[in-house]
Amino acid sequence: MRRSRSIQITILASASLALAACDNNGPDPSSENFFPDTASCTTAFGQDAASECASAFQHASVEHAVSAPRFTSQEACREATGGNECQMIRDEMGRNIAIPIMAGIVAGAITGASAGRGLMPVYAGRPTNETCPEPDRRQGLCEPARRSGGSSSSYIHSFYTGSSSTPVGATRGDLSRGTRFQPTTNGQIRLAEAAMRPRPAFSSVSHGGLGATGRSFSSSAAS
Amino acid sequence: MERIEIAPRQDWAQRVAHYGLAYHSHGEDPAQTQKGGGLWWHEGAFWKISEAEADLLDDATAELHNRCLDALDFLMTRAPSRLQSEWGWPQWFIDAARASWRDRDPALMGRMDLAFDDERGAVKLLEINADTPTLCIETALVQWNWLEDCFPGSDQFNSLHEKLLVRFKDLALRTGGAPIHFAAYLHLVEEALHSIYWQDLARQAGITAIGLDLGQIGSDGTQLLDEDNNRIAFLHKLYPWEWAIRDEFGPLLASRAQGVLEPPWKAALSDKAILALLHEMFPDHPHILPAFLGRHGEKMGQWVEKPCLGREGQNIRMTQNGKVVEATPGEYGTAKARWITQACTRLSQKDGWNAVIGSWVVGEGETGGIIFREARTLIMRDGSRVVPHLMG
Repeated sequence: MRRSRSIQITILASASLALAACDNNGPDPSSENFFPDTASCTTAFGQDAASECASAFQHASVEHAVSAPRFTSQEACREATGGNECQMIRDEMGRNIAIPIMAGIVAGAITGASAGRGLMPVYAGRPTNETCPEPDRRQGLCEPARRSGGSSSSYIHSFYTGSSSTPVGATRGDLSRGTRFQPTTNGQIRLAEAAMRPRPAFSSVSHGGLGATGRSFSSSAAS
Repeated sequence: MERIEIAPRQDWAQRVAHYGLAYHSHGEDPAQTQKGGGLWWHEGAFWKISEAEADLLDDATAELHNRCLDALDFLMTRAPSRLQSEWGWPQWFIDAARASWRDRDPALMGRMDLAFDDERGAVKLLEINADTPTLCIETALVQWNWLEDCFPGSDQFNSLHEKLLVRFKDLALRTGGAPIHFAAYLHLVEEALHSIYWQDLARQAGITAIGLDLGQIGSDGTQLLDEDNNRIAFLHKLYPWEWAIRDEFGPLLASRAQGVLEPPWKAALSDKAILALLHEMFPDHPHILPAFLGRHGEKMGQWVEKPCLGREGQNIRMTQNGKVVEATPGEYGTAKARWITQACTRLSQKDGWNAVIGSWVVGEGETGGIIFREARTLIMRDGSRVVPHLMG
């Protein structure tokens, strides 16, 4: 056997997902692209998009039933994903299975030519301890989800999102103007505008000392 | 070796995106191509190699790696002045590279590009991407998942993910609990995602991984600092040394103030001047092509001129008896560029497609498997396809 026996990725999947949700034709990536319900979607995209929002949720729920992690019982599902957010459905063979409920959708665009690109369901719950990367586990991020203020918690994570419907994908080069991958404090990756952090006015720390030469070439640093 | 055309997985674009390959088609619609299957990642075809061929590639990679270490040791310990005359390095960087070689600063990985003439069983080194190799996501994750989905019982010469994870666990023992910072251009999709993949592996190995943009790295004059003004004790950079040494923080990056992946000594390998030195030291080696410093394409025979620090197949010129056969434009053929001329060799050729095989070396010299590039032309360009393989 010359191949890897198994493969697991976590933050890479979340980065790829963030990209799919915020492709170049999508809305301002610094805005929230997660919508817990059709009302928040309509608020974001306007009353004109009400039917598109409804159909996005409909599509996502179909995708959700296909791609959500599956468990043999409600108990197993709750145990693995935390909280009470599990539902029973019938699978393709007619068997009863449990899946986490859909906590909302991630959508890059709802209307226009790129509608439906980057649309995906988000599952309620958290990764299981088994699938939780060690640093997350240490920080308690994989503990069963707590409910706060009655709202479901959702976790945008490789194991807890459906697949994107985007067929086109990104270029290997530049993101749309001013955007870049931004690590977040919980170890996930999102896309955000490349804003400079405020710095003390009389700091003795200088910046910009790396990366300048590479910018004079149009091709990437890698080979 | 065979090249076999096959229908891509129906949901291939989603499958590869799930494994981090969001840039599978250069941002274009793959449905516009005749058979689909991706314009960058292309699974409308795969290459099939025998176990004996995998052995040959595996052994050649390990052997070449050892010869590279010989050449490096010669350069660093006995002929450092050649790093000035042939590599064009400033004295301070020569000193830094020698110190990093003397202290055996650990390396993460590199990729050799090999020509494999399967009809004659000849494997030849084309060049080494020792400093900032990409194609990791494509090799370790995407072609692995393709095999799982399409040929679950089959094998593949590809343990890159596993080997990298082991390497990061080794590195975890050396960092003493300190985080590793991972710097890249975070606005460039391919580079940012590769940096994130390495962070993912580091975290799985128990290392605290902190990602940041190259431009956000700060300095107080004695050490490098992150966005929170914390000291950077270990830095992984997806940014080549030849550019870093021209930047303001270059001398500090090369100093012993922090550990750097890849370490400074790797810069000597990622410059194509090493190909001429390898030929000088091992003139009859079965895997090393004749190569000479300078442009000599006017000579009789078949030659390939390459800029020593070129990328993405740019500024390559192939000649036959002094006449240009194939040439590519680019931005690395400047008046200041240094060149090498390498003997032309045969690539694998099937159905009009030429293949170059990227072969991975991880850590101290573990081979990690291969990835195929293919093109109708003889020169692989930045747009040339990446295709999966299997062993059978």
